[in-house]
Amino acid sequence: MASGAGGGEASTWQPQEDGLREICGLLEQQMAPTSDDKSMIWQRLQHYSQFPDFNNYLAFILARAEGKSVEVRQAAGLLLKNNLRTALKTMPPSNQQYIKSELLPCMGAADRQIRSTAGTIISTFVQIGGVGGWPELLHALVKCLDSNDVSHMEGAMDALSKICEDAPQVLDSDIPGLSERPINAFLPRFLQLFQSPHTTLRKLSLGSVNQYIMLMPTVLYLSMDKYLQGLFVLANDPSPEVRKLVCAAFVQLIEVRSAVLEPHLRNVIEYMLLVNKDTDEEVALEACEFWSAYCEAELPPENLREFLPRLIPILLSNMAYADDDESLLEAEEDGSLPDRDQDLKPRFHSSRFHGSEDVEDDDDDIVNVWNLRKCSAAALDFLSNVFGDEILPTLMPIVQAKLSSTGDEAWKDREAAVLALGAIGEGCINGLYPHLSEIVAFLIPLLDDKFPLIRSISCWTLSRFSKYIVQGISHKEGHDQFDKILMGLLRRILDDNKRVQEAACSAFATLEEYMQEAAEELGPRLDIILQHLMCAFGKYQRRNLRIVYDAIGTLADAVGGELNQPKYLEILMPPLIAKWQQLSNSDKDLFPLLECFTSIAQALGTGFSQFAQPVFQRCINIIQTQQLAKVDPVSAGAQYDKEFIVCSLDLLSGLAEGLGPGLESLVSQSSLRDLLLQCCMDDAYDVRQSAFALLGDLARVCPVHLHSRLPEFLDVAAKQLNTAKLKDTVSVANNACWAIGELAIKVHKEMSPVVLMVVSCLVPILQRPEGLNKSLIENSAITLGRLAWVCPELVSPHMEHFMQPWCIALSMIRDDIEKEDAFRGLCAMVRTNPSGALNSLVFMCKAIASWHEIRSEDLHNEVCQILHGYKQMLKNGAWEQCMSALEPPVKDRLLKYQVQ
Amino acid sequence: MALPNQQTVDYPSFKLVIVGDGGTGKTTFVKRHLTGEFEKKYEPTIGVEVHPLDFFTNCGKIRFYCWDTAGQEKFGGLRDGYYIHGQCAIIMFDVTARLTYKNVPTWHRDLCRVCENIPIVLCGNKVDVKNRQVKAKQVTFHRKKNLQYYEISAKSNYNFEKPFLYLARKLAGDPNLHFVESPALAPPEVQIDLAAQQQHEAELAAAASQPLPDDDDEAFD
Repeated sequence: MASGAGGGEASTWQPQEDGLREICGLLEQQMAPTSDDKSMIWQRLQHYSQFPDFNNYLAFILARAEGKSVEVRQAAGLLLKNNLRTALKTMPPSNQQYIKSELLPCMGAADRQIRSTAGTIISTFVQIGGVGGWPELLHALVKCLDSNDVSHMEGAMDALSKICEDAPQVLDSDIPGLSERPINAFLPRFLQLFQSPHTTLRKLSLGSVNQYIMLMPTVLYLSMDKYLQGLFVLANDPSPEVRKLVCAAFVQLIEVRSAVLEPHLRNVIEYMLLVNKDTDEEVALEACEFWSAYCEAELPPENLREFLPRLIPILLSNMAYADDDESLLEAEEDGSLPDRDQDLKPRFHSSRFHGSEDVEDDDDDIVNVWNLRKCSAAALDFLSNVFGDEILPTLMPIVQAKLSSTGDEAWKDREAAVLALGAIGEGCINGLYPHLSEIVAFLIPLLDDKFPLIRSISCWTLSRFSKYIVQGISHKEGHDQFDKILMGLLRRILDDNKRVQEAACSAFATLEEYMQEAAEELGPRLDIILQHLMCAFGKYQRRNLRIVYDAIGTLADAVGGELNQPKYLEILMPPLIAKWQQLSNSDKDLFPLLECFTSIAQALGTGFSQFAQPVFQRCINIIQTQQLAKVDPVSAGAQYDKEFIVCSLDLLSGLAEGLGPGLESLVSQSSLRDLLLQCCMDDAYDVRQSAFALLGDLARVCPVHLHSRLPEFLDVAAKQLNTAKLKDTVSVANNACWAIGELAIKVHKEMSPVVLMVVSCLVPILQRPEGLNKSLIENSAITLGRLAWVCPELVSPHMEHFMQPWCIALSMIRDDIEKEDAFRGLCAMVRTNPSGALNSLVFMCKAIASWHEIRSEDLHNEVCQILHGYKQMLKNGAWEQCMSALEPPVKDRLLKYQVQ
Repeated sequence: MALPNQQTVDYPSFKLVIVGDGGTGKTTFVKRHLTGEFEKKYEPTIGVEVHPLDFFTNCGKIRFYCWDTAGQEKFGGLRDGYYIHGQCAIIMFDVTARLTYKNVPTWHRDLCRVCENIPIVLCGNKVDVKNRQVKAKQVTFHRKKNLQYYEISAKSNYNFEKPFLYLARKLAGDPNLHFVESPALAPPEVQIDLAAQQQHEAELAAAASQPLPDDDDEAFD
């Protein structure tokens, strides 16, 4: 038995031999690596745990069962630790005392596992009960640290490092009966141990101090110089783990305590430059975090500036693929191998939404791999944002040298150089811009490089310059270059390598997005683009096939009606239709195809009518099948998946938008109305969301076919607005609200039965817009206006209650047809009930002034009449008083209505 | 390494410990391999279940003894006692339940205290569920601790092999090691009966409504 470091009185408790044997046996069985059912053994162990001194047994086994295997003793200790969390509070003091007294000597045990297990248990004790109730512990720890016996020192340091990790504040607090905080006694000893010849002690002591950077106890603050000196001494430690902790300390200090580093900054930076090249990749990675941390802490750039010529080359060389990077092997994959289920990331369709959606970042492009390459590229990106063009004189010669390095073995350097250009593509664009054509000229041949990862990174880097490439089209040289890039990317779309296909498709999609404003440039190239995309469509495996659907959809969105030409449709449609026919109604690969058709239908407009009938019918069939599958999958012959319904509803919306009234004949011969009503009542909110979007679209193009079910539609739509959980279903409410408005302006007086119910739901939304999205507020304001327009006699008696928030909401909406409708409602109400707006006149004027220009002449005249009416009505300076409450720009805008 | 009572096979075998909160899909994940099926209903693991999973690499066959440990506290059994002699590990969380990610540091700490310096993979499971609570960009724990991170779906099999392949490469010290044939996996399109699905959705809704401290980016500073 190791010598008692903690003292502790002799205990009277002794284990029974039988119990000891039994518990050890069960622990052994529990840990045996067999596939047997362990729950029976566990139940027996549970049975034992009912005994009040069970935990004493465990402590005894850990501390004294010398004849047993270390695993069993360790397991007993860990079980004891886990039990403490629930048992400590109710444990008799004598048992607590016994366990504690057994633990302290374990800190000095010869076996490291026993010491470490004891440390874990001790830290748990401290976490639960603090140190105040266990004065022997602090004494024992100090005694061990000062003992000069390595086992004892390691045992104590192990326990302390765990306490510092689990509950650092416990040591930095006042303890009754102690003259000072425990950390005051320990910290000098930790710092002392930085110089220990034993790696473990250096590692544990350094790790323990690092835990206090955030808390920064006074004693550490006062010892800062000593700590920093210690860090510098450990900076060249033979142990990589220690060096890593040194780096971590500097990174953390720069993040939260940069002021203390300031006097030493040059030395720290010098050190970081050195270890950024450490042979141990983990050390280099930790060091590399320093540069991003420095930039993120927004520290003065000038302190880093002079080091850039040394830092940048290091970052660049660390950006080369490491030999064990997973991408290297993945890039070798044969492009003709079919993708497996496990290669396909689940994808989601987002239900149609009417209005401006709050932008939420897409997760798609985020790759969570973190290594020296990624960290270095991130650091370079940061530097380029802080220093901008300044880094170019250092960076560009290295990039050029690397790009021109020849030979197969240098491909990783060439690749890293291309990555670097992409990484600085945003931060340094001003400096790069004059040289962009040169750079692009450099990159274009790399699209055809022999190495697939060079081809793929070149696609990415070129796409980072999309904005400028598109801007350059206007002059001849830029125009030629654009063509070369486009052709290069299209070639890579047809690459045999899956990674390159993926990179090329997303680069092309990025370019397309920037082309939205220069869509006419895509027109003359549509032919060749479509040919390539459709060729890829026939060639790709499942994973990348999804990307090509997206690319087609984006293209359709970008070029719109331009696509509606027979020569293009002959290239585009046959392969898609073939695929469409090949996939079954329950194949999830149908989703991206349905989305793709939605974009195409919207782009082609009436041009889509030649394809509409089978598409329409299939959507109806899918919805029918799924609704059946929901209740009876067997007779439906399909597994219910609401995503099918959502995608089909959205495609029908796309058809309505594309074909307009042309959809009417299809709707009239179908059961869509009843299906749709059912979807509007679905319990899944994304089904309802898309259903109400379609309801609104159908209201626009063929309201007559909704007619026989109108009361039901209105009733269920209104219900969406009247819910306690509005915030959770805000997108459903948004679409339902919009659909009600679209119906209102088509069926007019037939709205009467529901008007007041709907208004009573809309008003609270306008009164308390906090936390709701902008689109719902806008749609509520517009729908309220549309209802007022069709039924002013019903709505206007209540206008006093909502004029103010309604006018505020109206003034946020930009000019469009829907806003015109809302103002027609405003005018209609004011005519019916002029005094209803008197208290909100200022807000009404502001709402009117929010118009840039009312294009509709009759509405413009109506607004003029209203303003004049009020001016005449308000005598005795009341009108002037109202005007004087308006800000000058608002007043100026009212000039258009010839009133002042 | 010869473990006590180890069922010996004549090819390399490794003890793989799988940890993480209850309900994150640890059992479902290991049962996808060959013998298993997608668990329709959730039955908490009691203590631990050991599954031997074989993989075929270009260097020959290897076996992972997967110690599928209980995530739920009350069924925890020996908990970290099961980690003893672990040679590699998977820490699982559920991307649809933020709390399970918040607990990752605790699992990692307990693991590292028993098994020093073993390769560890962090897995974010259930990426097949539409409304995730832990976005990919919020997952940063692996950066600080040098873990490999994969998003997986035990339901669709997405990235099933990745964690095993990473661990095999690390254990073999051979970055070029690869699997030469895919293990038979249970098909991804499973027949879940409606009741189970509704229950699942109810659980998700309950999890979503659970109030959690809202810190959007850095969960572990």
